[in-house]
Amino acid sequence: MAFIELKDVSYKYPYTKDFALQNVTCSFEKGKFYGIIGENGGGKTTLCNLIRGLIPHFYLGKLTGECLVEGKDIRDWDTAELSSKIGYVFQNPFTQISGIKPTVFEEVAIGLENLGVPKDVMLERVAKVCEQLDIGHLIKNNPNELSGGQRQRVAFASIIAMDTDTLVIDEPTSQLDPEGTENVFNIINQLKHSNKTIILVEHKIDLIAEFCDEILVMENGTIAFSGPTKEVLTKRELMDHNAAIPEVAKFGHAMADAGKPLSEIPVTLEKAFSLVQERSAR
Amino acid sequence: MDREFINSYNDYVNNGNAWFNLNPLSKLWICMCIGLSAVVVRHWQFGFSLCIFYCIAALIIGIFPRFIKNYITISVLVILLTIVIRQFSMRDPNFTPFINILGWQWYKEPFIAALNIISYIMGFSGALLIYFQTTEMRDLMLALENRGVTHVASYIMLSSMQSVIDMRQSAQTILESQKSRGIETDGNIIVRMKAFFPTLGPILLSAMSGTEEKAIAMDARAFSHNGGHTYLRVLRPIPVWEYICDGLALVFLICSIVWKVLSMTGRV
Repeated sequence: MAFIELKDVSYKYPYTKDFALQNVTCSFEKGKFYGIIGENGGGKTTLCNLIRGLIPHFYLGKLTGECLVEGKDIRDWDTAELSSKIGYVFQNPFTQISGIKPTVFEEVAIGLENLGVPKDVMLERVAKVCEQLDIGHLIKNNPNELSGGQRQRVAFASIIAMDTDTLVIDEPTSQLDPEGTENVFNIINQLKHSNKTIILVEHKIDLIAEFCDEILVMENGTIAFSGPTKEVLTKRELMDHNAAIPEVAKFGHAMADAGKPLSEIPVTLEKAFSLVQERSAR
Repeated sequence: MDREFINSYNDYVNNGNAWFNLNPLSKLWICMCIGLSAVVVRHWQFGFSLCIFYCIAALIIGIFPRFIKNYITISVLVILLTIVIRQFSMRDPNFTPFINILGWQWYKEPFIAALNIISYIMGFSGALLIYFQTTEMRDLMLALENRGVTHVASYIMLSSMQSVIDMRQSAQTILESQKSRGIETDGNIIVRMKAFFPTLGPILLSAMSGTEEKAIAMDARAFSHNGGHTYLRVLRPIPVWEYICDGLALVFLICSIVWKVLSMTGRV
């Protein structure tokens, strides 16, 4: 059974004319890693807000259709209860810092304090997460004085520390350098292996291709494509929908167009390398 | 990673010395009792004795340089304003001439009245200054939460203070971007005001939208979770001697009230 299920959902923000989501139907199963991609304004963040319950609890607007979390309609969920089930890392790192804690260590621990986690567990978990996210050297710093990338990692750490079953992560690497991005993706991958459900909005398509189990491509508030990562990212039509596709997939299509097709369209560099080797051997 | 720093959370909050480590509410009680005694007594000799006491206390608890800097600033303002206002507002032909400053005759009675006012303002503000210079707001809020204040109220209080800092930074950013666009932001007060006032709208709007986003971000951190709340920082349990200090402070305040009543009835 799907953990989160959307049935013909449409949503319009207050005081706006256009629908941010239109007739969206999809489902998310436990333990899977989902990637959401698409152009800006396509409805990715709105979808995350809905899954996390911010719509309709914070953003009123007009919501139709059904969004079920564990079979219960999102309208009937208490947001406080939902916060202990679904962690949400937001796009903007600057508003994710509480502003009331003088050290990064305390900032990361806020969620655990709110959840009533015992102090010894809290200390252990926060220290582990800080180490994982490579912010161990920042634990004594004031979170209000960090750079965008550092804040993003701190915000991410605070949500990971809460150890929720599901994580909705909206562009967690927008302010990070390549090394930081790789580090975050590795952590997300580790989380996936600890049987967490992950819903990730990201533009870095090569990393999405490498890690995600399934992909949703959003366009103008609708789901243009969805399905297993490889299946979606090898569709030629994707290129007509302004959605980014991996460079190696483009290469695979170009090879086919040139009459020298690979045995399949690759979506990861590793796969592309083996397919090219295989072709050369032929 | 600094393990020593992490392990420090296993201990009770330690802010340095015995005064700093007093429970913020006990400390507030002591400071209020002493400060209010100056308001009750309203006598310049008592008030100024308290000022000297605050200076000695600041020296002992290790905050003298910053205490004296702020205290002198407050004193100069209060002293000048009060003496001048009193000299102008109290008029009586029977007043005793005191000094003459460049043809401006000062009288003794308004001067003493001003000293009395100054002494209780300084006596009260000195206690508050010591309190706020030796107490972190988060410790005060933690102490209040321990006494049943909700963490929502505590967050609002602490967050409001941070908002002021954030708004000041936003103002600075906006002014700098104005400057980079060639708008004059430096110079005399009129030029500065002309540059500053148009920034107020954007600052307030960004603060408002920031508040909404922050509320959502806090919700993601289970802020409204209904279960029990735990704390990373824990204030030490209040020892008996601290209660005794609170009691002594109360006795001091009561004594000052009794002295005031007796002096008003002419018995001392």
